[in-house]
Amino acid sequence: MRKEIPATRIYHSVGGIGLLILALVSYGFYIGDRMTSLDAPMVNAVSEIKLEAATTGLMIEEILTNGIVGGLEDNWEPLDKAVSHLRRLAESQTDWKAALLPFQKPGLRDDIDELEKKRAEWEAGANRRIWEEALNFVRDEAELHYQAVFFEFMEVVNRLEDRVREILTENLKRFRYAQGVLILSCLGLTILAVMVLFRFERQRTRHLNELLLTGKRLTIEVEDRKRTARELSEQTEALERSNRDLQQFAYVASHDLQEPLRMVSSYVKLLERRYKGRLDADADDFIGFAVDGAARMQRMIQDLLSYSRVETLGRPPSRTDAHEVLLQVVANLRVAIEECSARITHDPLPVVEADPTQLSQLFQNLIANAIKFRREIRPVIHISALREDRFWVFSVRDNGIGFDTAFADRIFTIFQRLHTQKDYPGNGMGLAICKKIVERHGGSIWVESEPGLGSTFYFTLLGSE
Amino acid sequence: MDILLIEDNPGDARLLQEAFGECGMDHRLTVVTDGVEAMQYLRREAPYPEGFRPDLILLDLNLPRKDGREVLMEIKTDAVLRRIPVVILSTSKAEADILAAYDRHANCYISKPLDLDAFFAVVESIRRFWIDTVNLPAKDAS
Repeated sequence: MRKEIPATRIYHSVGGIGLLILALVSYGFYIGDRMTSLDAPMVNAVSEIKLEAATTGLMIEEILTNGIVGGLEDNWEPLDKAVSHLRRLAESQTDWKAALLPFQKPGLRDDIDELEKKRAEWEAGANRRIWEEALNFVRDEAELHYQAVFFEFMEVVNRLEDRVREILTENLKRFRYAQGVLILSCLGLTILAVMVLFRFERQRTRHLNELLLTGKRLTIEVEDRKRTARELSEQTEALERSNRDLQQFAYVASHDLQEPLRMVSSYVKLLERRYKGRLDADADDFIGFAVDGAARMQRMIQDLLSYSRVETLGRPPSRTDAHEVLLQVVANLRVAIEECSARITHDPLPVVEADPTQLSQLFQNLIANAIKFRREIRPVIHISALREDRFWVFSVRDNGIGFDTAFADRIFTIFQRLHTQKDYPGNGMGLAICKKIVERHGGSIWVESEPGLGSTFYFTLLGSE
Repeated sequence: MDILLIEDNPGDARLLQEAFGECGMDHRLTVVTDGVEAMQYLRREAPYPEGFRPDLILLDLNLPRKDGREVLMEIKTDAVLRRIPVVILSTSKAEADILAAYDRHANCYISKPLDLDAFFAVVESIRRFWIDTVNLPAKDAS
């Protein structure tokens, strides 16, 4: 990329050239004025002097030739006028001007002084000749003297003429020179102006291009966003569809699987009933395993069905009094509670947005778990709820066996269990259903536990306004 | 005493027979496997000219050809047949199925238990109630 001249330098150059032009114009004006008002008039004045001197010389010759005497003083007058005019011009040049702009050749005034002196000598010489002529006392010596002073006078006049011409010529030269520089400066200024213009144009173009580019980028970005949003919504839709399909599959599979399984389990059970002890010991074992497996599978299918029913049979959340639901659940679990003399306590419970059947199932699963995984001591279960923003955080705390929270995620997954069937029978579906219920209500569920001390299950539900 | 079982699954039919056997029921149990056959049998149409009118009907809801609900409807709208008690035996526990059955005047609705012992207990209770307890209409009454 080409290196750009800094804008400040251009502006400084423009300013400099501007000042220079101003100075040149002033200078040219001054010189022009001087040439017209001083130099040229001085040249004229000297020419005048020359002319008058010649006229005066001729008149003196005439007087001498024709012998006319008198009125000679008048004959000097035009010449003196011309000389004094020149002197005035020369002296109009003030000292400070001459010092500031020393175009005045030194010696101009001296020359004028000398001219006046020569003019006096010339007059004296002329008068002497005229008097001698009048007295017919002509001497060659006087004539020669007159010729010499006249010649000297003319010499001074010529010198003066050269001098004023030289001044005029020099000033003219200066004027032309200033004019040249002025033209060049104007040219430079024009070039700079064009440069600045070009620069502005370039900047404008660049800004315009940048704007266009930004616009294009924005458009692309917007399109990107749109596409992403579209893809997201498509993915969400696909996910929802696949979720629905899965629900449907789970329901249909478990529902339709039930029939053949009922056959299997019924007939192996019938086999056991009719032939136990009548075949050999192996046959009894085999039948036993088949019965057991079929029964377990039946339970699993039941659980899968109830798991899928959380969605398929779930009703929209409505105002539900958690306290009433809990009382009902405790009544449902009466037998199990009495069996181990569990103590169930609770804080005041709120009204929440929930499907009452599912909230009941939720409490029931959690409390039944708390009873199931009890220690050798009397089970104590406490239910409470805390308001947190729009949600209520429920907790079900027990003093049971607890577990290592490293498995905290696993226990909410279907068919995932932490204990053997022998120690704690079950299918590992209860908490999975709890999680599904809570998530269906837009809440979340989690657990804190300490092995040997107990567990606390938390879940959130939207409060009812 | 004659009992008609309308059931398409032979496994289920056999299981019921076995249960009857275990309960010591020596009643005549006839099995037809779809709704069309059931109506032909009840109306003594071909291929069942020798068909008889049962004292009790055990009806499964999901049947090929003619559905259990239609069979129930036809029985209960038939001036003669409607006197025969119809016991619905279904695996479904769906409320819609239960309501549909009673709307068509089923005499009772029983969900088949999954467990064999429970199933046997149900059959036992059917016997005790419908055979031992209730007074059934006289067959030759008109």
